[in-house]
Amino acid sequence: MKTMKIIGIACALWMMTTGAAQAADVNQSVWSQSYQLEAKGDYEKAAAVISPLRDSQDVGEFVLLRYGWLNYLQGNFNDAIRSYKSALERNPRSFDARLGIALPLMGQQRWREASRYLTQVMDQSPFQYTANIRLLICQEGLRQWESLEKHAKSMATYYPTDISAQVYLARAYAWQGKKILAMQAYRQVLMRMPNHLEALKYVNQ
Amino acid sequence: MLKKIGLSAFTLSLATLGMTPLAQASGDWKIQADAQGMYAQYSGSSTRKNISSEGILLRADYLDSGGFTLGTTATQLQFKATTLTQQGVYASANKHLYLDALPGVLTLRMDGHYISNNDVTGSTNRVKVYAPQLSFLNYRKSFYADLGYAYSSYPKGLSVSQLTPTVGLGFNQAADWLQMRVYWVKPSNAAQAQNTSSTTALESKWTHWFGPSSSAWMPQKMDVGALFGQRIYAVDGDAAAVYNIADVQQGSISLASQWRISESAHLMLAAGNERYRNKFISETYDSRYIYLDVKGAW
Repeated sequence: MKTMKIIGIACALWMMTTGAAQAADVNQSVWSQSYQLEAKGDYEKAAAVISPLRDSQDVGEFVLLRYGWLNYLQGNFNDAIRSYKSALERNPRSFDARLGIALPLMGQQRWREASRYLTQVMDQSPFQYTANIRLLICQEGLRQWESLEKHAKSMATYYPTDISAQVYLARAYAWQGKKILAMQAYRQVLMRMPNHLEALKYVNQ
Repeated sequence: MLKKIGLSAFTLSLATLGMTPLAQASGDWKIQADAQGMYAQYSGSSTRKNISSEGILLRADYLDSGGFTLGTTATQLQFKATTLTQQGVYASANKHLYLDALPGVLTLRMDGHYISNNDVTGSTNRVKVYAPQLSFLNYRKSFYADLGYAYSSYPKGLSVSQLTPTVGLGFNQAADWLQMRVYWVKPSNAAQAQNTSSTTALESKWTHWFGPSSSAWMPQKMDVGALFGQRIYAVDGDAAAVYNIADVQQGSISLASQWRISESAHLMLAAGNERYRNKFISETYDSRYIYLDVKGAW
């Protein structure tokens, strides 16, 4: 009787582990398929294969983030925003969801709304690189040249090898008529990327 | 308030560490105020001397979703024999819609005006205007279109319907903008509209945006505008103006420049000439105006 009980438990365990392994295999295959389709540029199918997993308790947040990204790549900005918002509801501390949602918002030129999510990241992590770079783009979109100058200058201090910070700094100077400073900033860009077209055009004008 | 306190505390903690935050958080509401003034001198009119007006507009926008505007204007029209004083209030609300099926932003807008004055004839007093508008601007900022309608209710049973289809095109890498707006205006009773049963006018405006500024005196943008044809009792949605005390407008030219004082302050100066005809007394006259607008945002 005791032996039968042990065999029964063993069978149940075997069935459970086999089922979990099979589910994991299915998931693995889904992920591989999604990444391969994305690499081929078939973003719609890449999103479709992971779509059934969006309600999953285990992987739902990650699926929502990826689903948002793949919709952003397709230009389905509203679907992308919805997906990133759902991910943010699941994990209100998520930087990835905030950085992600900024992309479709920027695609729709909703600069102020995108800035709000980016500054939320920077409230927690002031020197987070991606948030800062995306905020520079928003400040340019809003034509906030003084803010852009101040922000890009700080970025260039914290990331001295970074080209983007120097380019935005140069643009901020140029739009304010600070020609000498713009020239210096564009020269800094050329030190980092000698064939940078925008910098070459400005320096050679 | 809580957010403000939180940010201050955060800024303080970084300052203690000898670090400065790269950028400050901005509020969700953007409030903008305009102070406007206009003065016009009439030339060739046997009845009118000059007109002046002062106004304030307050505009609040919530992120990139939409917003509302409230405004008030006081106008003094100096006739040779008397003075007409007028008060106008204006309210406007708009909502932006971002649809994936469209490569741009759709905006629904509704304007309302209420104007009262001491017009002795009583025919231009207590004027109400309702003006809905649907507009579209593409993300590349190279194409704009809107369809506006205005229904104006005047005393003594006069109503005026106005349709204003508009197209705008950007070119030269969005540095130049050409906008054309047709005004079809139809008063319900020609006898109350200087025997005019309907008018048609074309308003065209060319805007040039200057590039990176080379001096502080360089304007941010410049507009050249002209109106061809005729219009009466027109409602100008861009200027938030109702032409309730004007005669039949027979054309205009205008020049405007906008300077950027700072990131949140702008100054606009405009001047122009408008031609009018009073059909009752068969008189054509000009109105030469100057207009100043100072805008601040926070």
